[in-house]
Amino acid sequence: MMVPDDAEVAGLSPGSRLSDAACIPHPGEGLVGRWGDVLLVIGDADDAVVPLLLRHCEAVAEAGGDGRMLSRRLAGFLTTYEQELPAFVAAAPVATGLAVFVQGAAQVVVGEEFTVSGAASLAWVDRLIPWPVATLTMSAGVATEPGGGPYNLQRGVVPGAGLTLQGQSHDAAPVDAGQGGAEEPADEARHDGTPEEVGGLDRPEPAFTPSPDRWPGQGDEPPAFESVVMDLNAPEVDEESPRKPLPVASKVSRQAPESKGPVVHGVYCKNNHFNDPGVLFCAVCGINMVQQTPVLTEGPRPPLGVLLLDDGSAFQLDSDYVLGREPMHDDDVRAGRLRGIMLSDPDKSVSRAHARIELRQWDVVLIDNSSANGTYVAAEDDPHWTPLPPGTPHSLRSGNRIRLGSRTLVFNSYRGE
Amino acid sequence: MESIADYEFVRLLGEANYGDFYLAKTPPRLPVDDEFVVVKVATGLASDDAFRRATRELRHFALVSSPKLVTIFDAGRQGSTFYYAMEYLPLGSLGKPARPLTREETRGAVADAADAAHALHEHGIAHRDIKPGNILLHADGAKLSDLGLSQLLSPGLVMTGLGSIGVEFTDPAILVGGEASRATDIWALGAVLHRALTGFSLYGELPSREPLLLVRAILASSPEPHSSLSAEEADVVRACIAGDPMDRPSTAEEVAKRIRALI
Repeated sequence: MMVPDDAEVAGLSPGSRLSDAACIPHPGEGLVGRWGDVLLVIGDADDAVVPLLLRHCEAVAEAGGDGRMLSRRLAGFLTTYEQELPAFVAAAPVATGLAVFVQGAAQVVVGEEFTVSGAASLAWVDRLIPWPVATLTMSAGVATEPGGGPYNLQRGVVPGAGLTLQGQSHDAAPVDAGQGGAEEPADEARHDGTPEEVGGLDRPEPAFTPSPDRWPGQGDEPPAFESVVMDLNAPEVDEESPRKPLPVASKVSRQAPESKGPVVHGVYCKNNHFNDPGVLFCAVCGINMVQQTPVLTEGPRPPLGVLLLDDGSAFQLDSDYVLGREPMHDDDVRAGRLRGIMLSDPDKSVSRAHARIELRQWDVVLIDNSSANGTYVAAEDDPHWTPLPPGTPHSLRSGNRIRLGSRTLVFNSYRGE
Repeated sequence: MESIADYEFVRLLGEANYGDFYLAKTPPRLPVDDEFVVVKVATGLASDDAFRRATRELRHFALVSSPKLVTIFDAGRQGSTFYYAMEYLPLGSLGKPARPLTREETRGAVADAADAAHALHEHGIAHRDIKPGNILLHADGAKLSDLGLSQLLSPGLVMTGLGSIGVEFTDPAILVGGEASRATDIWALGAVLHRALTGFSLYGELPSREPLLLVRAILASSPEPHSSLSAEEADVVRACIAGDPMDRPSTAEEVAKRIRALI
């Protein structure tokens, strides 16, 4: 494979981040999209497949913008897509180079002469272009060129027939097509010897990448990083008011606990611990609840237990959860309404958002999310696993085991039934 | 790994929950005279949210000025990898001391950790991860390090993976959903004192290394001090691990005093 040896463009070498390179859209028919490290050009912006391709690219960007994931994902998608496809090209970096994925008459031109085109192929073409990569041009049809003007797409989707990616040009005005683009870094946030931004905490950052060292130290430039020096004299150190001391057990535990949970109906034990009205003994102090007259009152719900995972981690059940291989793609998790529990699973026997755990009053409810391999439960010592019908809530009892693909979890109730 | 950000690693110091510790050369941008710092690299999911949460928590940790807390210099991320740098103490940890400790030194180290925990509690922070590996030794005693960062990187997480390492120091109340508090840290201090003095866990020989079975076994048994402890030492341990938090010393400072009062 021919590779241009001109590596003077800092934005495209492995020692720095692709997302800091300038992206210049070319005028013409079609659509140009960029999400950090992930780039996409589609020839026909009105085709039915466009929203689907956008979603795939966005998801890959959110998961860290890994080129291998992008190729796998697009290949998987195209295998099952039966309609006619417009020409398109997508690209994202991997540690050793740039992964490009080309469908139809689209093409990628690297440096001066090296070209990947899908025109002569029945299916798509995917390639890994090793670092260093000089300038890169992607177009959905015949080669296109920048139309002049200070355009630089940082994030989002704009009309265009192609794009050129090159090292950051400082006089280019950023075009932010919505979705909260990257801010220009403040000068004082730069570290010596680092060619790109390292500044504020608000820069879009992948929520998850499969490998922490995507950029091996092949370049001379140190990779970009951001840091918060613990300089206690800095005025912004404590933007919130200082915290109050933690409560001392002797002063609080005989009062109602300061739980942040939603208000539910329950009963207080003699020692003022809030309980499920159905229990015989207080979950906190174990005192017999039968001997006192129960008064049903409203109060904040305490955590209902923990989920223990087979890797030894444990999650507190004070919130609803989405369980899966990539729960961060679930809309509710992304919006911060639910928490995700990531069940890593190289065999992919666990679906991305496989099942949910919901807290309903005093019950912990498991719901299969129409997962590919199903969700199973078993009582503590029962060797038989029972499959859950998709979408049907199942109340868990303490000690219940849960099987999602190859992973096993156990629910421990605070009630310790 | 050979480096992260502008930290050049000298060698790997150890593995911990959610990441590794490296000895690194102090980069010139840090206002620190020491030649070396320790860098903890967390392979967790450094999303924007998690990063903000973790740095905020570290700032609060850094605000607590106690000579018995390890000083944190810098926190940051590179790609999706989170790191923070803190002072380097060359004598190892209570879990792996550089030289054998006397009984008095061991007790002193746990008492120092209790003082440090108290300082955190007074600033509204529960440590959540007190264990021998987080009690670092220096010539005059010990310092407590490593706030339970994993919980910050992954909301809702109350116990990190890596099997049995943390379970024996975790208040069983946490294992059924309890909140971290003074009392749960005090439980951990009792368990650490016990492990450091006897070499055994409070549950004797741990029955299994398989996490789900281990947690189940621990919840089904009750912790009991080892017979090699003196009666006074056993009393302190027993007080710290009492089932009802009301029966435990009310503060970690009191734990420190009781340990120092041991003869």
